[in-house]
Amino acid sequence: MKLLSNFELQTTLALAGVAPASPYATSIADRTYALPTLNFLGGAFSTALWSFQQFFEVLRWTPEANDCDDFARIAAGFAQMLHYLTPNRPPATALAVGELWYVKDSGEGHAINVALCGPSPDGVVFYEPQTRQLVKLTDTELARVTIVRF
Amino acid sequence: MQPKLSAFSFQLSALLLALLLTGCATTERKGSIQTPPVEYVK
Repeated sequence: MKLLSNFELQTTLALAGVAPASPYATSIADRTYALPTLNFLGGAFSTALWSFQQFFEVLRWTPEANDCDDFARIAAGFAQMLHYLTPNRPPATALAVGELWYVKDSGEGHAINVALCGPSPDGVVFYEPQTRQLVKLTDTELARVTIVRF
Repeated sequence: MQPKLSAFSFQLSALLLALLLTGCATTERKGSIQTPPVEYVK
């Protein structure tokens, strides 16, 4: 099973262009990360996240109380819960699903999820927890990432 | 003569109040949360 160290994860993110200007804006809490497959993220995880959001009635966007940063936080936390509950989870690992804040090309701040579904920069993907779909960031949006947290 | 609340009555009142507050503070939720195992990159 492919695992990434804290340093490898940060380096892979940087090579993919995910590098906030301030070094203090990147927080990678754990020593070692397991990587979810793209198939899992777009499939079983998305369906399960929907069930979680529906169960707690947090599907509806609500200003400040349940907006983009809250969706991203819940999705990242839920992914970690699933990782913890997985029987064959590699020991002493976190899951490489995090939160990412950036400034959209429209000028509006936004928060989504970022995941590593592979050990190379190509494996860095972005996930919109409000629609539970993979999304792309433009180069200018990547240049305006303000916070990354795993 | 003032009526006195016995210790038993006081405890019963406190218990009922606690049950009432607990009931008001929680929401019964329906449905279930799926918890599929994570598929890892090999």
